Order: sequence, then C-alpha cells, then structure tokens
Amino acid sequence: MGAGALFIAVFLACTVEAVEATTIVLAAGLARGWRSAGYGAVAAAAILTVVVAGLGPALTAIPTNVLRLVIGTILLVFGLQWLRKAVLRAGGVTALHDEETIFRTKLAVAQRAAAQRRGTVPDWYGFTLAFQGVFLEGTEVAFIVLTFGSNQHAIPLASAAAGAAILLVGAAGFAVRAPLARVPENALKFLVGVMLTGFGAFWAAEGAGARWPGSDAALLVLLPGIAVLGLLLIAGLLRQDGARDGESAAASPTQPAS
Amino acid sequence: MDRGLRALAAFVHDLVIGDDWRAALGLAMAVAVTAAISRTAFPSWWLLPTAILALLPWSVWRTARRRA
Repeated sequence: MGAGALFIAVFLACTVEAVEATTIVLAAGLARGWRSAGYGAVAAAAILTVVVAGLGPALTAIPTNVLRLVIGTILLVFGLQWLRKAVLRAGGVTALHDEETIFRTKLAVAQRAAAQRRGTVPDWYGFTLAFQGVFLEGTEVAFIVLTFGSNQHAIPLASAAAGAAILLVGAAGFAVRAPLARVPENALKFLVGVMLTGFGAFWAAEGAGARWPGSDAALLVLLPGIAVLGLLLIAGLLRQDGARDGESAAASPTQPAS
Repeated sequence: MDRGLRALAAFVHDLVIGDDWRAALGLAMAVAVTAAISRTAFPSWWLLPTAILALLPWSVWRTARRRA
C-alpha cells in the first residue's frame, strides 16, 4: 500500500467522523456558547492525541506478521460493519444519517438545559456535549489512524491525514455555522467500508501466512470486487423495496370496487 | 471499577463488532482457517474474499428480512 493510498483511505474515513462530530460541536456552540463548546472539543481531541501518541510507537514495535493478523482481523470486522450499514442505508432498509435532523434535535435539547459553571468552564452542559461528540466520533478516528498507520509503519502520515480531514471539515462547519448536510456521508461511508474491508482482508490473510497472487496488485481486484458486491446488494434491496411497494399498492386500490 | 470495565468492553464491542456478532465470528473463523491452510501446501488467499462474499449478503439479508 503506497503512501498516497494510505493518506486517502484515512482522510476519507476521518472526514465521515469529523462531519458527525462537527454537527454536535456546532449545536453545543450555538446553543450554549462557543467558549464551553470549544473547551470540550479541544479537551477530547487532546486526550485522543495522547492515546494515539502513546499507543502508536508501542504498536509499531510488534512483529509485522502478528500486527497484520490482529489489526487486519479487527479492521476486517470493523470494515464489514461499516459497509453493511452503508448498504442497508442506501438500500432503504435503515434511515440515512441526517445531519440536519441530528443538529436540530441536539440544538433543541441543549437550549432547554440549565446553565451551570464549573471551574474555568462557563457552561458545563455545553462542554460535556461537545466533549462527548468529539470523543465518541474521535475514538473511531484514533482507531483508524492506529490500525492503518501501525500496519504500514506510518503513524505520522496517518495522523496527518486525520488532522487534515478534521481541520478541513471543522473549518467548513465553523464558517457556515450549520451542519454539513451536503457532504455525501453515506457514499463516503460506503467507500470507506470497502477500503477498510479490503485492506483488512488483505492484511489479515498476509498475517495468517497466505500469499496473495500478484502481491499488492491483488488489492486492485479485491477492492473493486467488494465495491461491486456492495452495489449489487444495494440494487437488490432497492428492487425488493420497489416490488413490495407495487404489491401493497395493488392490494389496497384507492377506488373501492362497486 | 467492575462497572467501568464492563462499560469499556461494551464500548469496544459496539465500536468493532456492532450489531451483527455472527458476521464478526464468521470472519474471525475464516481468518483462523486461513492460518491453518497456510501451514499446508495449498493456497489460502481465496478464503477471506469468499467469506466476505458469503457473510456480507447473509448479514444484509437477515437485517432486511427482520425489518420488512
């Protein structure tokens, strides 16, 4: 896996998480004030940075084959879960992730809560809301940085890709002061799910002792193959949904028979 | 302490495995079988792509049927 592919994979994955975290920080900032929300977001980001900085060197000290087996398996399981969710959303089985609705709900709840000062934090609710949002979404960012970075012995590059995604999304969100609803989040999630599953399978198999035909070139077949499988499943779900709608329309005609 | 550990385990479970543990278990078993075949003279690279090909449609189909 080249440095460019590593950067793109981590950047896209972190963009999805950053969009979700930005929505929560924006709701906290607009409803409760930017100072407390800012403190919360920075505190969570600092803790996650320490975790990555602490675990990163430790992970890269593990022998490559063991690392690939363990990290590859975790990434494969994690990636299939992402891909499955993206397929179910695109196929109409579960609701799409709607940043506008999440933003409105968080904003309404945050506006009703009572204010409480704690230490240097003017509003504890705003701090907690932003902290939780950044910490929960950021855990996935840290996970992706550590798994991709340690496997390729390139944690600084993976961290730079994550940092670029967070800065870009954060700046865009702060500039428009509204949720980034136009980011095609589900399409990104599908793409990232394909990459996580593909790289996870590739590394797990290598760590288990398998030899891929064509070595790294096998990824050029594996990744498009997984994408095609996902797209076929989405098409199947949409067709099934259409057929079900047609059946229910036929079963309940609007004009009663005379 | 005990409650904290349980909360951490639940968080890690939700983060990595999510709501379909059967698919996760299937993938872990496929990796184990890949490791076992790799110790023989037979090629083992095909097993994980095959597992994805089987487990993803199965997991999606089960969820879609449950929610229909």
